[in-house]
Amino acid sequence: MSHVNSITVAERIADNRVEPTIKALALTKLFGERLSVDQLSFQVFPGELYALLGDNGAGKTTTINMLTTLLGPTSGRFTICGYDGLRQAEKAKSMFGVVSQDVAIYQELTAYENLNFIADLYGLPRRKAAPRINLLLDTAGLADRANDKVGDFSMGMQRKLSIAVAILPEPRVLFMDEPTVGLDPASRLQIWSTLKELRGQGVTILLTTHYLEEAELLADRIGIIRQGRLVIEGTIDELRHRIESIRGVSITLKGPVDPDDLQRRVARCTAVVNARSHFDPLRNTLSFMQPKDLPLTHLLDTTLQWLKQEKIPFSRFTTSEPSLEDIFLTIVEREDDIQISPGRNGAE
Amino acid sequence: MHQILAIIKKDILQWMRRPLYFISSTLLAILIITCVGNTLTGSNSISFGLYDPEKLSQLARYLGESHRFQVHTYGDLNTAKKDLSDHKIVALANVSQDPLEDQVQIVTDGRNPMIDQQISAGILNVLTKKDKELNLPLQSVTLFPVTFSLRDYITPGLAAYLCYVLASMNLGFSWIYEWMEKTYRQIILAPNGLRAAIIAKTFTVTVEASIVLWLSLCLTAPVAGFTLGNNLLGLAGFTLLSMFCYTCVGLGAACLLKTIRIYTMTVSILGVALMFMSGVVIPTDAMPLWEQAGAKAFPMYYSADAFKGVMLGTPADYAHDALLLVCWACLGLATATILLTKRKATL
Repeated sequence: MSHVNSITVAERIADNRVEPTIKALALTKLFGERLSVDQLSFQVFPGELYALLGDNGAGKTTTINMLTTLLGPTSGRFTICGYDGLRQAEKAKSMFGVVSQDVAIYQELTAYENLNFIADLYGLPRRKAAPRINLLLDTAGLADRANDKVGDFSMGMQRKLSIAVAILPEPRVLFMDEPTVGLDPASRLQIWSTLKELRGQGVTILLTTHYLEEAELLADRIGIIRQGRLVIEGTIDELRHRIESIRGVSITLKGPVDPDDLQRRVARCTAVVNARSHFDPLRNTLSFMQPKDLPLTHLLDTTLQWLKQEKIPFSRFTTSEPSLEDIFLTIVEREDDIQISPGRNGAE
Repeated sequence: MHQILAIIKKDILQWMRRPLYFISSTLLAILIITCVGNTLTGSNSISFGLYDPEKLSQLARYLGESHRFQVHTYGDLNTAKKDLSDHKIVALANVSQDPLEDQVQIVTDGRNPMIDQQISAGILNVLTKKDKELNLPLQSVTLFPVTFSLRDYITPGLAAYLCYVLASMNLGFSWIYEWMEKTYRQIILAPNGLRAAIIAKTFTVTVEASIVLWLSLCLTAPVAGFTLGNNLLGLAGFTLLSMFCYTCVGLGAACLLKTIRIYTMTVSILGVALMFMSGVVIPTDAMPLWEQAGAKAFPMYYSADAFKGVMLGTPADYAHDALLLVCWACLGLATATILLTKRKATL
């Protein structure tokens, strides 16, 4: 994460005179009886990359669809660059670009023709459109494939083209709904690099993602959404602070482990019972977070003593800052147990 | 305006990149005009047996001259009847060989009423044309001079039907395809994109489908032997108007039905029903009253009426036909606009 950019963004957030680029106020969406988004309020400031995290079905895509005027909210309102999203939808649309989860590119047209269509659609003058199209194709690494039909492109190439399509009209805001899903690591890295560049250019980005490393790497602030509600938001440091934990502990166990037996043994460890534990059978790792009121030395003593008493062999014992994954799992698994400090969110 | 032109340009580019689609829709139109047209017009060279060894009648000559029948003469009645039961001939005229008896018995298989009707219609046609030669007290005359054949008469109705088919097919590709591919979102996320899309796509579908129909009619007319008439401007105009009407109605239907599978199924079934109900095949005058009322409730009746007028010169209320087609178009557009505005993200 760009430290300089974070400070600038943090300053903007702290400065009450700066108007948010995206402002959502109590957005709610009902599909029949099913509540998909529940009183969602948040703000995204100019030049900020805000990541919206959540499980499948949490309401991320529904939120994006409402903010991009594709779906009318049941209640609530939102503004994009000061334009009311409901009453001034057409003006709001001229402010943003969208990269949706599905690659929405015309397969029979070439890369150049796809971009040219968007240029025509947004009324870009020809003398401005052509160099911009060439620049975007070059940036996306598609300059040598400009005249090839998109149907022949790989998923990664199509995804890069869809980002180029979204930013062609130079929007001030970019909505991205899981832009790197299904891509190989190399393509994902390229897209992350593009997002960092865009953020550096002052584009406000609202990103939904499953990939916690993506949010951790790119986002200035993160909001975690669960069952349609914004449960917590802030920078990673703020989130760590708010879940009342200061340290993640991870013990890689040796040999096969019976998860139920392990849980019974964990209950006998006083260090761990004060923090919720989590066993990952794939990595054979037991992890938990150390509560703030417990000194590290006491934690180490108690935990090692417990491992010795229970005769649990282990190959690795590490402590670290709670990762975003720790925070996310903590929040989505057992929200009631979380002591979340009240923090500034978008609600007025 | 730039958005409308952008979408038109893009749609035409896509249409040109799908030559197989263009070829198949043209072939479909040609197939309907020739095969359905020929079938409805009636068979020629129907294999017809004649037992008249003494040549007491002149049926052989008159039936042969009509080109409706291919006459096979028999010397033995039993052989003729055996060939009839073996379906080597479709019907048999048994001319009584008793000079005191003036009787001709027409024998058919009896198990195919459609054939029986064809035979009856064909024979009546021959007899009323040859009434003077045969000295029959039966004549067929027309109130107005007729300058077109049955084949000419069938084609305008088929053209109206093809307007429905081609507009529906093109619409399906133009709109539902975009919904399925999610590219539709690109258009509606642009400022005023939805309005531009409705105008642009209605225009492109109308023009594309009209080109296919005109091409099919021009290619088929000299081969199938029907006339396009002298009012080519009227033909072009009502083709465009009918296509526009069915494009708008189809768009409204697509917004209601949403998936390509349900849309094509509904359009196909409805098309077959409308083809028979709207005076395309059978004149509405020959239908029961309730069916006549039903025919006039749908736009195909009016486009068939207009096409007959411009292609055959028969009386047609062009203003009334055009008005009804425009009304249906407005209804389709209004339905589509309301539904598209409400359901943007779910399409």
